[in-house]
Amino acid sequence: MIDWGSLLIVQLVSIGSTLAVVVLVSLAVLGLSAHGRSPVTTSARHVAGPSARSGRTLGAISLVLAAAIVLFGLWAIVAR
Amino acid sequence: MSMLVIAVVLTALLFDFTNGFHDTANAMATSIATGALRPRVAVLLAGVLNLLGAFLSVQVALTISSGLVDEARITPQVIFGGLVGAILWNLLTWLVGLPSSSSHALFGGLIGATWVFAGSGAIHFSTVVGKVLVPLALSPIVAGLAALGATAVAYRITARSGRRGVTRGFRAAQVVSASMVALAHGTNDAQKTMGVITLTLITVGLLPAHAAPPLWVVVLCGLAIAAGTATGGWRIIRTLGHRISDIESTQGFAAETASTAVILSSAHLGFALSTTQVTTGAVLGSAAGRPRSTVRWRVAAEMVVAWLLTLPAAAALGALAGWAASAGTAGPVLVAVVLAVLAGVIYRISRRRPVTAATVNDAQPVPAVATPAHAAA
Repeated sequence: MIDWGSLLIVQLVSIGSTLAVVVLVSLAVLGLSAHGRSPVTTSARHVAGPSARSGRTLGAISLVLAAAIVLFGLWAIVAR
Repeated sequence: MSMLVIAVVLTALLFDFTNGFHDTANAMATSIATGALRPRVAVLLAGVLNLLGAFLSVQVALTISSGLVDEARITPQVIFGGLVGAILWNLLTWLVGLPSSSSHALFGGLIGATWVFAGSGAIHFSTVVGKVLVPLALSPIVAGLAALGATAVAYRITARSGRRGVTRGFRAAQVVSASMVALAHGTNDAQKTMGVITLTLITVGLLPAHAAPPLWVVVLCGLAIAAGTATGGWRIIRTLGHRISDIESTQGFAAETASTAVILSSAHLGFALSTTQVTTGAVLGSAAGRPRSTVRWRVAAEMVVAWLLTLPAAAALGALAGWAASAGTAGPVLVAVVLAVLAGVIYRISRRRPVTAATVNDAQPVPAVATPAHAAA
């Protein structure tokens, strides 16, 4: 018998947690690499990246949130 | 414990070892390819984390020991035959560098040997379909879609950052994500051997039906898969890291994160999926998700063919070995000798063109085709 409910949970958790962790780490990389970076100018508009300080804050918060998701996942498995 | 049971346990641990070196690529191929980790460091790290992962869960082991086949109608000889079929298929696919599924090989070998010995009635097809085949078919697709979406989003978010900083950041992140895949691999794959050994102990009455694996089984399986992983299956690492696509660290991180999520969530619910297929699906997804990427679809097609062949081929090998092993006292000895000879031949052939830690990143010239979604970009 196929347990479609559990399979659906696996699909949703997999896609959701992957996107969440990758987005958060991408934001962390974006923030942490903002140090010393000049604003980028495009032909249409002036786009400024985060400053070094706000970048570090954004990076740190994103990393903590990503780590929390990973640790929660491990805890859920070990606790069962 | 009889000599035969000891022989089956040792053969199961040998399978676990081949499972380890066959699947080192799952965790570490992209990290080695992007330079996030040095090859030797990568496989040693993977080995240690595989060992830790073996202790996280026993849900998959319970699926195998209590669900796939009727333990009252098979013997240790049958399990021995199934393991021999799985080991031979693993060695053959390793020789040609194909990331085929060790799980398919194990299930195929076990099902083939059981079918020949006790008939199709001894196989629990509903469990095989619901807990093994459907998750096996779905998981690489889900991993591929998750990796594709995550890769596209990661490139979009970091598009305005300097590439050097982004590459450095994701390389650092890859150390963690690759470690998580290794941990997940240990959790999912070591349990399969635990399940087989537990099934053997149940068939001879040393454990009650539906028993969980004893601690000594968990420890031995963790050590065997860790040792195999630390040996490094360089041929498959090269295929997965270089021949599908030229992977960047952003893609590697997305692929590894998707693989970890799929493997751990499935293992948590007792689904015995193939970590090889999950990671290959994720690598393909991340390759397709990167703007202006190239995916070598011919290599991907070769892998899919190997995936489709693995279950029936291992079943045929397992059936043959199980039939021979069940033929009197000399049967298991004969099968063991044949296994040793064939393994020796495969090893000697592999030495003609060895792939090592030093040469694993020497890319092979394979024609690349731009992915349709980005071909015009």
